[in-house]
Amino acid sequence: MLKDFSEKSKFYTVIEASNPWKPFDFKEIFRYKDMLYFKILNGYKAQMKQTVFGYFWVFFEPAFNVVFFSLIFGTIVKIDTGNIPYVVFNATAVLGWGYLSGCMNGSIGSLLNESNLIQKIYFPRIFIPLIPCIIKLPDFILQFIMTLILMAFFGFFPDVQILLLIPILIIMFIYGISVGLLLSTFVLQYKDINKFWGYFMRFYVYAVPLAYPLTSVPEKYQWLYLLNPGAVLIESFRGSLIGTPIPWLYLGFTTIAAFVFLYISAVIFRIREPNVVDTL
Amino acid sequence: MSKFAIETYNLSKRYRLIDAASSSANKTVLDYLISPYKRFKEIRSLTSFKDDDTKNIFWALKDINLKVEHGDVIGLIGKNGAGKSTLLKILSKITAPTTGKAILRGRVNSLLEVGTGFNGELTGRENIYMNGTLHGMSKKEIDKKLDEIIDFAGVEKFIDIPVKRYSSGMGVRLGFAVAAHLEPEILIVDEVLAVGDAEFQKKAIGKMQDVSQQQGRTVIFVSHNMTSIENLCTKAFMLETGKIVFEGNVVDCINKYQEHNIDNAHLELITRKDRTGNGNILFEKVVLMDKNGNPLGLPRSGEDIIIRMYYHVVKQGEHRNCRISCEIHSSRHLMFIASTEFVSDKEIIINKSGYIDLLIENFPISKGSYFITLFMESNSDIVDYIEAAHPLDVIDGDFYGFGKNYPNGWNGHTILIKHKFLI
Repeated sequence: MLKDFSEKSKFYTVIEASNPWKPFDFKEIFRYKDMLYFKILNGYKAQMKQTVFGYFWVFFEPAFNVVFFSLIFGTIVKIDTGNIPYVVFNATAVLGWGYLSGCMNGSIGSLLNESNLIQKIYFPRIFIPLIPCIIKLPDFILQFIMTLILMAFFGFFPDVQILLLIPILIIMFIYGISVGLLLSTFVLQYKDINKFWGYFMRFYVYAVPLAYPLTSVPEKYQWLYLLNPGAVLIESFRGSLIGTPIPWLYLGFTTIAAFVFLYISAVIFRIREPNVVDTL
Repeated sequence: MSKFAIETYNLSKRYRLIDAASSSANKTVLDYLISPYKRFKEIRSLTSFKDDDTKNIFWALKDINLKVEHGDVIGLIGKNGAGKSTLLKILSKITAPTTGKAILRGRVNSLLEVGTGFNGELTGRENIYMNGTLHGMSKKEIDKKLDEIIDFAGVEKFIDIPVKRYSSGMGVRLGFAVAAHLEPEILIVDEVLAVGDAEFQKKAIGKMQDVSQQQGRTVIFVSHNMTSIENLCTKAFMLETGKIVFEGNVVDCINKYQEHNIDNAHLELITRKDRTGNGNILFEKVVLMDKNGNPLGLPRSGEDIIIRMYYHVVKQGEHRNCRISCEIHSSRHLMFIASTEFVSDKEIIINKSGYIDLLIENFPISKGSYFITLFMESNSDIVDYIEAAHPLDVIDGDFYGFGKNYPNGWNGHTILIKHKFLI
């Protein structure tokens, strides 16, 4: 009656140092897919429960940012955004920034947030930095619809270029999880990184063309500016919504860099992950 | 196929302990300036080891070679810090071994905690799916067993309300109900049976026995409760300071472990190292006395006795909300527990070394050799806990006030109760 658990069985486990150069164990990920599903579903439900305003908060953060930037840079500093009203110019970038920064922030602190769980049970650890990037998606869709309404109010209607939004979103997703894979294990050991990261992001928001247009960067430095993947992604994101020019060449670089970054981060995660609970 | 469900080869695990208490007194400005660098080196040393460095290194496990056959129910016995939990964590892939390897043949589930991943905001039903899939079940499998799980936990009425509204007993039952329906081939269980009410424990243990006996599953089980080890296990291993010091028959292994405890019980209490807790207050000495405070050699059944527990305050200050308890047990079974919380609502505050007296009238234990285990907590933190802190040999006495002792040759360790036959 005993089943055969030879080396070919999916329930044959060897515990020893594994090969970090193959960081993704797709067989195992598939076996735990239902867990991933419930973790995402329940995580999403739990974050909504016992808040008075519920979905209101999904709109609050981008709305707050848009009002803030429009007041400071649109009204007081009067940044020139050509024939695009500042609110539209800013809101389309804030939408993309919200997703990109949300993924990165959620992902890097994820292992620390789940430190109780990882001390008690095994499951593919790679899920943990992955989940925040997925949980942000439904919120993104709601915010996206709000942004479209705002654009329509100012007479902007996206054309076929909007399809580019999907690959851009995927690349943002890859950057988000890569930052998480790279740093989340270190955050667990050196809690300072989490604190530092908060300040870094406050600075980083000004290193992307969110509050100001790309054209306000001196032309001879634009190539340097566009080596920053975040800047390329935000500029392209806005372009796909309202038709401003897309830096195709740099978008290509950024895409390749995303996959390289993902692989390197995953390898580092795979090296550190088996012993990470020892640092708690 | 191999007859072994679990095999390990020279499994070892190394940890580094770092001093959390580097005091800030007597530091110069320079010390403060370089302390981030020192701190960095310290934290880094948690994961970076060089071959020749031995500073603060602690081998939680050293060269463990285990062979467990399919269908075996293994008890792991050992003191706190012997490496039991580390071994379970490695076998359940929570942490990796430093060296060595292990092979597990079959689907593995580990229960290091009941209701892992429960979220209070979610309903019982949602938590069943979360917990079940965390243990590697598929949604389909859970769909099929959902009614059975809810029924086993006995929470039908509450299944759609958030778990945070559950009583703690209900939460535990729900967690255990999911665990009981996992159907792994290899089950790894830490001391989780200690929670939950007695009746449910019995049910859960029964379910575990079914699992192992009828379905030929392999179980590795850690417990401090020798009775459940004896009832459940077919084989036992005793661990000490990271090594297996005994393996084989359950009864032999338990006896070996108890001998150890007994040897320790005759040591000076203050020199004992096998204690758990934060050590803010340490038990120092136990003295047995009669009701009038005269030292007592051997207490007699039916006598009034005082157990005086001396303690020494290590960390100065006020220790509030103290709870002190005293377990009387034989080498195998717990006889009874006396605890300050059972008999008084008054807050106990300890601020200087001293003693506390426990008066037991009509000492209700039959003759035999017993031990006293001491436990103290403060603000729900374990302060000091010593198993078998003091030996207690009881001689036969006139408990029933009838002038008779127990018949000669009668040698049961038992609780005595006044009783009457209505003839």
